[in-house]
Amino acid sequence: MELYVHIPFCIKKCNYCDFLSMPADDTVKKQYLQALKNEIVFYAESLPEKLETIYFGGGTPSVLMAEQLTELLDLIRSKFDVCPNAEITIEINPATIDYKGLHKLRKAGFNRLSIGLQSVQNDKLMLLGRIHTYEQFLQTYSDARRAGFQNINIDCMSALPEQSLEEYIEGLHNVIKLNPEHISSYSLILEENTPFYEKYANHKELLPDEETDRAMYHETKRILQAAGYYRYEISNYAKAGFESKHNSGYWERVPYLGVGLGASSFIGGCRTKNICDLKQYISLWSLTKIGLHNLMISSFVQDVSLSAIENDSNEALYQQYDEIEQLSKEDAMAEYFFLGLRMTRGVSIQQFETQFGCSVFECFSQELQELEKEKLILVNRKQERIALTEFGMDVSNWVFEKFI
Amino acid sequence: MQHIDQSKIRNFCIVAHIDHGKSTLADRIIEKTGLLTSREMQEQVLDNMDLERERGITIKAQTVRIVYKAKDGEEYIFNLIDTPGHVDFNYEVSRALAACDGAILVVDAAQGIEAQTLANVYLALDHDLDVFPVINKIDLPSAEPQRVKDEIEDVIGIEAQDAPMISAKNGIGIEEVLEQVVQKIPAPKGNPDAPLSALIFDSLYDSYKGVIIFCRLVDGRVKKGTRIRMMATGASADVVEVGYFGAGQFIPCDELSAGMVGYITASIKNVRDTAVGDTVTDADNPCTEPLPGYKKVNSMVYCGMYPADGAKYPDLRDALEKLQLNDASLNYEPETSIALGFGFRCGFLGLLHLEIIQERLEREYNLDLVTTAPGVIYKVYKTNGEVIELTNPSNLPDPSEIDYMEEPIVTAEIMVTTEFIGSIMELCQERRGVYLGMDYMEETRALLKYDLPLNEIIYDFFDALKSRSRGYASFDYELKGYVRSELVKLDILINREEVDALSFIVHKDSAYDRGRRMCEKLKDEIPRHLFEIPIQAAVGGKVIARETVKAMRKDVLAKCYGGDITRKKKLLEKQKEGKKRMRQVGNVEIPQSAFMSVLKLDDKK
Repeated sequence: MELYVHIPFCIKKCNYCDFLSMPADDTVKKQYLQALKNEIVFYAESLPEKLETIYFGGGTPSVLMAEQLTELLDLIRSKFDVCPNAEITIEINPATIDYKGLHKLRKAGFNRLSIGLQSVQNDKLMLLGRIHTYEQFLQTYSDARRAGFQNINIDCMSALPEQSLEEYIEGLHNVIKLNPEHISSYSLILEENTPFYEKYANHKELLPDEETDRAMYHETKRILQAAGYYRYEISNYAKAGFESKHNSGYWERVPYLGVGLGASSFIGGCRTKNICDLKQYISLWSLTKIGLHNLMISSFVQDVSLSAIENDSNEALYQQYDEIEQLSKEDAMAEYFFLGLRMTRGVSIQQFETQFGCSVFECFSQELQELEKEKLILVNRKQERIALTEFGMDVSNWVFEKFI
Repeated sequence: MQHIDQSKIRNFCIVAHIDHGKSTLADRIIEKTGLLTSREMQEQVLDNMDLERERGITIKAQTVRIVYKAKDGEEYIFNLIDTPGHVDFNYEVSRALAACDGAILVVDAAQGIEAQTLANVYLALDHDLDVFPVINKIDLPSAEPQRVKDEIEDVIGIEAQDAPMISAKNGIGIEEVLEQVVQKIPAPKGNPDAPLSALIFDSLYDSYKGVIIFCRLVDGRVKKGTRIRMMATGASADVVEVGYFGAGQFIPCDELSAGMVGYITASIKNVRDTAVGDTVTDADNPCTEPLPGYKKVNSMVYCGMYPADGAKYPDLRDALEKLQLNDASLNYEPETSIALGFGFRCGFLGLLHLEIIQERLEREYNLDLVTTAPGVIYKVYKTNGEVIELTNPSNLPDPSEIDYMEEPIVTAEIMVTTEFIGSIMELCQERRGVYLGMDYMEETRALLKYDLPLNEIIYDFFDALKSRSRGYASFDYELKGYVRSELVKLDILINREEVDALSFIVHKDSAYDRGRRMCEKLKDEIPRHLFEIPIQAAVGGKVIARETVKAMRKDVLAKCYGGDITRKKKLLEKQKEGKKRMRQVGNVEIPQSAFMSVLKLDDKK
């Protein structure tokens, strides 16, 4: 099992961001941390699975003090059975943590960093509503190396407003020079209810056109490949052996537990999403409600499956979720493809059959034939794998839809 | 059995231009006569279809019987027949009028006479009805009742100085209207002892009672057990029930006799047996002559209607059949389209009628429809002497077989304030109108007369008229006949495949413009595919306009992590669901909205 820990705080919300995060004062952060710890303890007792990866995401986890983060990780390590070689990632943003802090995190056991850079150009950073400059990023990056992090991801964005292909490529080269183990590059998505959406949804002319967007994408692959990074997922590149294990788990449908505000879990074939209201979350998991917890623990079946939730006497269990979805076999088969095909190595034909008891060529015979004919997928019968072609990557939604 | 004296019956209707307050007055009359209390009154009691209430218009004729105690101390029975006001429903108006002995003409005190005021009042006078005017909305600040009275006398030529001055909305002056109904509308003069003759002016299909015939008894009597026969259709049946109309309900009674308005049920399963305008008589003691006025209604506007979900074809057929039970002016016959599958070619009185049927199918029968561009009936004269009445553009013979074609022309009367005469004349010109003349109604208003091709006014003429006159122009038309015209069939090719459902007939001078606008519209409607899609408009195989839907280069979600999966899946599901509802032509998926969007090609403003 994987563990995701959500820290819904940041210094200031970025203009494009639709993640569940918000600025908060110290009191709220403390209350949240206490609730989070209670949730962790609760699950450690009711779901005693071995953890292969741990991921602190946000928001900006590094807005918490290194001591607070260390405490959290210590708690997890003490309550869960964590694999000795577990990948333990934390997302940080430049200018929110210094060398000392990074050093503490490294010592606490975090062994992978994901740093949000987004752009090497300060005017673009400003436009995005980032709180840091490129120079501050460079400082954070070198601090991280000095603190002993040997597995670092740098997050970049492409197709930004008024960004030219040349600018983007130049930025990419700068990032390569830093020699990180992992690079993510996302083409900008206009998410609803963000300042960017307001600004650009009706002014697409201010954004790079589709041709430029694709050119950036294809150049990213070409340039990074030449520099020793291979693309293992639509937007993720790594040096061999440095692929994110945690994120790969999402695409391979490995069970994961998400703790914290609005965190999603995938356990026992059931997808759940925690409540998103901070006050409710804190009150639900506050110490004064210990009684509730006991009730929940006593009635908790080994996994968070619907059978447990559907039982009326377990009303209390409902309160912690905004969404509960028990996947049908069809849902699971669709997921197998639309998640698995995100990875360049694609999906295993054999594994599908083992998991679902039928051959992909029976379940999706027409779809696969069409997609193969349209050169959107490649069926490698020898290696027992199905993967997207280069064009298939560009229009992957078109492909995924067929499996829904 | 209580005997009803014909001299105490008044059968009348209310005629007016749309929005002049006809239905509101009807409501007030019902209220005043004590059938309902003010509190029970639902707005516009007579407009009982949801659609009618929403649009504020009357679609089907409605009837209500009320009892009024007049100032002379006598009780009178009023049969009020509410008539539709829109030009599309002229036949409905005419059959309702035929059941009346008189009419109240409602005129808006601020707007005065409008195009439909004239059309309806002439129709009423044609039916030999005694008409008296009522000036409504006198409490509006802009009301000019004296001017309107003078206008009525000048233009229509009926006495108007003692017209009741009312506000139907606020219940002012209603009493006076009721008294004038008693005084000015003649009592029926039928012979109750003569053989039965009753005019069918409407009918309604009820799943329990079968067809309910709405009729006006001219002579004779009818009661339970009478064997009746419809003179035009020849169908006969035994009467199960007779009665009259309460507000929104049927009230059975023992017998209907000469002069009365009421209903008959006889377990008739097929409304085609009870055609509106037909005469009901006693099968055992028939009258010698049917009542005058029966005419088969002809559809003026045709379009294809297809179920969005092909499996719903039988449902659509059943729904059309049921609607036709109540609407003799609706025609339909099965047709097949390569693009849209199995559907029906439906005939309507006009575009509003079409829209209403479409909405009723969607609302009352829960059907999702794809409608093709409406067209009129063209006459195609073939070189071999054959004449085809063309309702579906796809059936147009090869040009080499066509000698010439004719299209229907209407005579339109447009009432407009003088400041907009210029722009309205320009509009008529653009629509290939032939100017016939202009009459000034008074200094500031004129009545323009034009001959216009029907196919130029069925699209968006009414909207254009309103927008170019800031809503002040009103218009009415009637079919004049057919004239020879240079018509061509415009085909739309999507990815080089002709889409039959998008073809239509157009005057050759408008072909380029219409073709170009259709291509532009379709370009926005057709989603991008993995390949480039040319959209072409062609006449006789020659492409006259082209647009291109560019190939899709990108359809990807850059991020999909643990918290995104459920949301992304919903997105994909939605996208897939959307495509399911599309129509496949060749290898292109065409959304249903594309077929509909071409109905509303924006006119240059």
